[in-house]
Amino acid sequence: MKVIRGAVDEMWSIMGQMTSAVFRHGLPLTDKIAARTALTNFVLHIHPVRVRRSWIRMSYTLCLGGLSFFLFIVLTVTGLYLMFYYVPSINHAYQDMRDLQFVVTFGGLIRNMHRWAAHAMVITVWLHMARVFLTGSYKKPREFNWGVGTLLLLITLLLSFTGYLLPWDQLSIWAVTVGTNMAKYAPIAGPYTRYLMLGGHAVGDATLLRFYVMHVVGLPLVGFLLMVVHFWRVRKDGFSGGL
Amino acid sequence: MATEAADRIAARQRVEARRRQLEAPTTVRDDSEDEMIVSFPEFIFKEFIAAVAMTVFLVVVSIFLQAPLLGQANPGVTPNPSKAPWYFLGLQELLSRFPPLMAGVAFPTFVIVLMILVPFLDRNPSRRPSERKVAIILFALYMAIVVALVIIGTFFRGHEFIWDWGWVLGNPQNCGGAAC
Amino acid sequence: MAADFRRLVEDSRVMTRRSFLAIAGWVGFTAASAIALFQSVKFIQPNATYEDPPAFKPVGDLAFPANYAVGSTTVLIDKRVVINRDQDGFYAISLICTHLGCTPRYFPDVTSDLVLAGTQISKDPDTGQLATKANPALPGFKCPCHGSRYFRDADNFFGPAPRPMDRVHMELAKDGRLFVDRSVIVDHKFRLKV
Repeated sequence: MKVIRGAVDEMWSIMGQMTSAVFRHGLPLTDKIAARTALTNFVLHIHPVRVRRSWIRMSYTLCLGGLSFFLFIVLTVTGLYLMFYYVPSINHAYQDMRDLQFVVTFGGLIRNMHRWAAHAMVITVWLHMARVFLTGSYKKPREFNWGVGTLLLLITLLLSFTGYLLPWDQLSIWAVTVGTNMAKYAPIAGPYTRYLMLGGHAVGDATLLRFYVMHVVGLPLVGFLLMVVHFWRVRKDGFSGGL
Repeated sequence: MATEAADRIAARQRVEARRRQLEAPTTVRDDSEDEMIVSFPEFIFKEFIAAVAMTVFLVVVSIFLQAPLLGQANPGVTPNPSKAPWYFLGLQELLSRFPPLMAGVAFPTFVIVLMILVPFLDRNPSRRPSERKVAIILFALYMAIVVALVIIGTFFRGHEFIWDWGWVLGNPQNCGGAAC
Repeated sequence: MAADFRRLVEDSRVMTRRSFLAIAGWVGFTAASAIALFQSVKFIQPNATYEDPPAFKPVGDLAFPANYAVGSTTVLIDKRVVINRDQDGFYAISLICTHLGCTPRYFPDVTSDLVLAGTQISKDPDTGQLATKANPALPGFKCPCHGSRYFRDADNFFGPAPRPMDRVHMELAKDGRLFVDRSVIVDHKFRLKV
């Protein structure tokens, strides 16, 4: 009996140690504990430890920047799911989309979520920009971060554009034909730029692979790095706060 | 001695007050309830609620709204009308009106560069809406133009991208019985 | 930064060994970076593409010139090429809209709605026909993307298209079949006489 009780106690103590190894500070019962938690937790540490109420008032931020980032995460996760069933080749791509819609369990839901989240992200990024403009938050010392934000808007649009080709349906091919033909009119190296984008003279197999690579790795990576800079500068330049 | 110290303290306070007055931001902030709080858990909880709400919204929308998927890509047949995704329809609208070098390359580049330069062009230090009427009117105008172009491209462009009221009424013009 | 650079340049007038090596190092670094950038562009430029070859011979009934009536317009949609025959001979059109690259479609009548709306339409230089109120219908091509219109000889007359569609090279192969090379653009006067 004594041995069993000892073993149980030992197990409790091991589990306690495991818990405290992960969650160092327990429940945020006091401001001090809460501050320590925010300071030491990796996930939380992109936030400042202390904020003013006016900075985080919903009617001021509308949470648009946060929602844009959250939608980026949703798109990453659903995009990862889609990659399990999608082959970027003109012989497979369209059939894979049909399979996702009609054969794969929840495939249609994931594809719909990816598509609608992409639309939603374009909207939230635009509205975030509008909010920042209307509150004058781009003014000194946040000029640089406004520029980074503009580039992020551009990345969002480019991600939408490259993603648009991947289903390989009639919408895709013509939207991309028109879009890449615009590059042709650029001065100096217009037609050459188009050739590099398409990997050929018309939208085809090489284009699909190129756009796929840019859509799933290239642009998200650039976007992620810009986001890191963006969030870092939000912390370092300070929240803009109420008017 | 005591009065001297008191004078000095009073003088220092006057200087402090004067400096605070000079350095005060042009914006007036109501500090009465604007306390510093620890961001965890209140701030983070707000974000969490927003994220959950967005997820629920997305799932519900995705259950009831199918993402479009047309027929397989065919370089020989261009659908009519052939439209870009809605956020590029403003650009497509410009493309149908102006030469491509202007509408497709020069104009977007100009807008992006202008946007990046906004903080340096706007010399007004105030953030109060009442003190930056020009900036807000210009921005509202810009947004209105963008939204108007997108709405025109989405709803008022029918076959061959020609202006079409019928499209709004759900009555696409037929091409005299021939395939469009 | 600027001061450092000025000092580097001023140092280099005397050109100590240290400043020479510094300058040589930076020049080398810049040059190597530029070359790397250039090579990166060369890397993503495909040297071989596996697209449909630009030159082809029409198959089936369309292979032989005798099967084309004078004044006919034939659309080879999977090749995106149009073969026209008039009194002088054959010519081929690359069926790619010169505005933004969509594929225009053939219609027997591309002018009457414009004529009835009162728009002035220039004469079709190929047939010499003019669309009038009495005879408003001329055949041609309409682009679905932005509404450009072309006469059947590829001349643009309406919409945002900046120039006529490209005419491409044609010849008669030794086996008596037509041969079209979409990569060779020819001028307006080109005709294949048979």
